[in-house]
Amino acid sequence: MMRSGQVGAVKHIFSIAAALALAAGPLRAEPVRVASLSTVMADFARDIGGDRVEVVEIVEPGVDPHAFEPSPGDYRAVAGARILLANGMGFEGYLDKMRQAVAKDGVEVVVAGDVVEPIEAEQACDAHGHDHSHHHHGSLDPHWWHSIGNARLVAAQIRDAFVEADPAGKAEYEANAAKLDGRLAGLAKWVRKQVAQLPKASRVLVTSHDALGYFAKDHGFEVMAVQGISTEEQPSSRRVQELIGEIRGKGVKAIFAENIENPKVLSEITAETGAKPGGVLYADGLGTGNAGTYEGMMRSNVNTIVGALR
Amino acid sequence: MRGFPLARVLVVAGALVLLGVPVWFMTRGDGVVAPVAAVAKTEGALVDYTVRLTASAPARLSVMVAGKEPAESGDGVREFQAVFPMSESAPEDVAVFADFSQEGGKCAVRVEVERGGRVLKDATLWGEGVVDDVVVLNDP
Repeated sequence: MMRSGQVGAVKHIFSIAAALALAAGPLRAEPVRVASLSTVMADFARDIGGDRVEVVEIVEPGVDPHAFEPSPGDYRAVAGARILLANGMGFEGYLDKMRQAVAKDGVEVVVAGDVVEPIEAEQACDAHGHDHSHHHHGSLDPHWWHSIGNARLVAAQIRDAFVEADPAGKAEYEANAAKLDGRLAGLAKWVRKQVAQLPKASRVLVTSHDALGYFAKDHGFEVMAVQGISTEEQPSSRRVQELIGEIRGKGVKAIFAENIENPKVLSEITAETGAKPGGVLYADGLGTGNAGTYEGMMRSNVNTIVGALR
Repeated sequence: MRGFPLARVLVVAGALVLLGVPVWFMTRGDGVVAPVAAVAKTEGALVDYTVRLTASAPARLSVMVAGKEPAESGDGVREFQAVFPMSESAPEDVAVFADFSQEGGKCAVRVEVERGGRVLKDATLWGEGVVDDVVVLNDP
């Protein structure tokens, strides 16, 4: 039997512990671990998940995702995640292998290609006769994020995946996703207003590789890409000559480089055609600095395009 | 040919020339320059497009089309219209701006675009203070 003094001491200890617990705030579960093969989806995941998720970027901004091959450490990081975010549509040539490798770990794979409205990648694959031995893509254009409409669909997909994985955070995920959706709607309107400054005749995008098809479809541009849909092959000299002829014929004002490309071929074409260098576009995902978020990347691209073609 | 270095050089040079011919044919540019007429998508006959704006409250209204002078109303109007000659096959986007800053609450502006008496687009834009957006005319 405890004496009354001991009972008082125990009560005192419990009350201090209760006060400390209250001061520390409600206990929060471990954050949901999310691995991402897409820089854009990682950005959305951070926005929607807030403090409730921990995002690990397997493919980081500035890395050429067409040439990326995951390391054993990357596989371990994915296996330790609850959710894996991927572009799909052949963008990650290793995705099926990765999916099989982490299946036993219960990782839910969220693939943007399952919800976006895809477009064909005809020009890149068929017309130019590229060697496909190292391409990591199918017949669909996997660069879905250049359409803000698609971005809104994928944001909703990520919200739903988070709610399913962590039902306790439903209200938070939904509120954050609604805010993001509002910002994306505003961004879409801003893009429309910027692009409206360009006459239709000026809406020709000459780029390193064929990544801006969704943007072109949304805003009435024609894309003339030096390479196909992947960055991995160099264009044939015949293709370069054809392109030079087309650029001259259409009176294209500017030619755009990409943030992760070697612009040597583009420099040659620029010199041959007299078109000016239009600036650098973020074609394969997010960049750094101001282009380190989806909204920043889109604003940077649109400002570059409109500024050069106006 | 042993002992005749000059002959060997000639044979090698000849082989190189023979190899070079198909390589040149395979890699040369066709020199085909797309004719300027290829831009037909954006040229074609110009026809008049009438843009008519109807505001829910007095506002300053303006319409902008790429490559043309913007058309602007004075302050406090409810209706405004402007005519823009544009390509029949590929009309430009129409940017609309309505300044309702003298009004409180939600405001709207109706945008009608006509060509040859036929309404191509009829859209209503909503907002507070300033209402602006772009009406895209699909290629007919």
